Amino acid sequence: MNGPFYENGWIGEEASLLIALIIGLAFGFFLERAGLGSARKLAAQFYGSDLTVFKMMFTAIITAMIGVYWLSWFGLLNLDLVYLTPTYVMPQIIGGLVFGIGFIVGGYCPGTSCVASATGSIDGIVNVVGLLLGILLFGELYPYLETFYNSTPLGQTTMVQYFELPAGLMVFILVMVALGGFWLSEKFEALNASNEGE
Amino acid sequence: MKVNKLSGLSLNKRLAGLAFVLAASAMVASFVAPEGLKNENERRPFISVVTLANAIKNREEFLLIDLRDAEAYEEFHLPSAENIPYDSALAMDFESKVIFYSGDDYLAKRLWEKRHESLGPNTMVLYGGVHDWYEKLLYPELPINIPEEHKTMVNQVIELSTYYGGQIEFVESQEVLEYYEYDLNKKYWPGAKRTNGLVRKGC
Amino acid sequence: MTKGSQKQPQPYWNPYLCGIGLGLVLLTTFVVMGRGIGASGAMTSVVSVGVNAVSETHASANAFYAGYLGDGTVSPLKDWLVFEVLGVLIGGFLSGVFAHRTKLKVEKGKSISRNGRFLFSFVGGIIMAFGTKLARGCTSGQALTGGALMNVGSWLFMISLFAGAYGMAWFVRRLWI
Repeated sequence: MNGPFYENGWIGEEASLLIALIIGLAFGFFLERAGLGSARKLAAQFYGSDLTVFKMMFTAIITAMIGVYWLSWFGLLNLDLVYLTPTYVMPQIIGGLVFGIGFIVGGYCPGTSCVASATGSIDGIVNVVGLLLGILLFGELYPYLETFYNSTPLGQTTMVQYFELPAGLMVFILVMVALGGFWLSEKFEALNASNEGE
Repeated sequence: MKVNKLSGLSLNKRLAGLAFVLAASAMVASFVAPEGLKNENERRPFISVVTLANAIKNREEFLLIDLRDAEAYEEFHLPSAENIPYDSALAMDFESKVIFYSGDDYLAKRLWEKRHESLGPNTMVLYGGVHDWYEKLLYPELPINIPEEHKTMVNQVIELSTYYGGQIEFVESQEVLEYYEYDLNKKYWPGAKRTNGLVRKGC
Repeated sequence: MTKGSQKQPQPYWNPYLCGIGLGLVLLTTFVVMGRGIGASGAMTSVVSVGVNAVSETHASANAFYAGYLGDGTVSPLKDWLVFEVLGVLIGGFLSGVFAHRTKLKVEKGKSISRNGRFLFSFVGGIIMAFGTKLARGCTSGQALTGGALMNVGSWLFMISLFAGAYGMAWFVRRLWI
């Protein structure tokens, strides 16, 4: 009995859509619970007063990362069948920079803009409309962007393969980086809070 | 309020400690037993479509068995394959070297799981079945620009595709090459092939 | 709890606990589906369907839309990510209702007008769409999913995302503070 269940053919197509709905529900629930449906809270990440975005994002990443490592180690999850988005170095670096700029200007990312819209933020709905229009523009310009879009490919590559390190060591390094980041975040928030108090 | 804050803080520290322990033990585990509890000595029975195509072409000695039903076999089968449907094959004994295949990997996988102890070391299974034979050997997608290190493999695929009367589609993407660079000794069984899947990969 | 405080928005949960919850959701998705979570992909499906409705030849000639439209045997909206994002809307709404945070509002900094905020939110959305499509995923599909799988491109995306946002933050500070 090992995963991924869908890839092993144990889940039908219609059932997978029901699962999608449940997973999305939990995803949206936790985003809203942490306050990531609020543009001010999201933007505060980049002005140093509230680092919730960083904390939640990296906690989620290391939780899933540790889980994936151990499930795979025990033979319960076949990682070969978990889809990995292929790496394209330049498009992903430039895409990340552009995304970051859009993030701080608009105040949301695609997932959180949905949560904001669902909780009644009009600016969130406006952001979703902007996203849809942006995707349309990208689609219309795609013939011109295609060459760049497909440039500098590395294939489906994990850092374990790229650096040729044992998977557990890579997990340990990234978890330590995250824990160090959390410790700094707490110090930084405390410092900012005491400065504002004076 | 103060008490709440304190207990909140210690919760965070406890969680951080848990993360540290799980990650540190992951590190130790990956040095002590890199492959985990997956049995690394278990023989993987796979043969790739390229290796099989070469073997058929070179008229090597082996029995190629199509595990699907007669109807599917009549419609399309691999050159030199014999049709022994799954239920019959389950009860048979094979003396010589045997290579099994099915539509995707489902039947071949079931047969291997039930019989691999009694079938002996001469048994192999075609990785990806008829699906991969069709998609990756007869009508493969190959990149227009082939990197130097992949040239030998790609030329081989082109040659075999032509030999078996297939046709190649050239595409921009380099990703299509990854399939041919699989290390089949490390592979698990491939996933189920779906024709009308509702789960698109990626974002 | 006093009667008055019942209508007040409840405080947000501990971000680390929410992160663990989200991480377990992500892990479940890997184990059950063999893929990660996402958001922008569903929006692209919606846009592709829209374009296809206006002009089928135009949509099918464009490899970008065509990838989201499939072979035409099933509706492109009957897609895993589209249903997942519907779930996100419901989940976000329910959480907001339970915590008394669901009401019509505009989230903005002190020194910007409502219309100004709308304009920047709109423009930000357009810019972000370009970023997410160039990078083949957003914070969910790349940063979270790929981050957990230690995907090289996802970590490049994530580092660039923070670099881009921190680099731009000073220039748009009047939007937020």
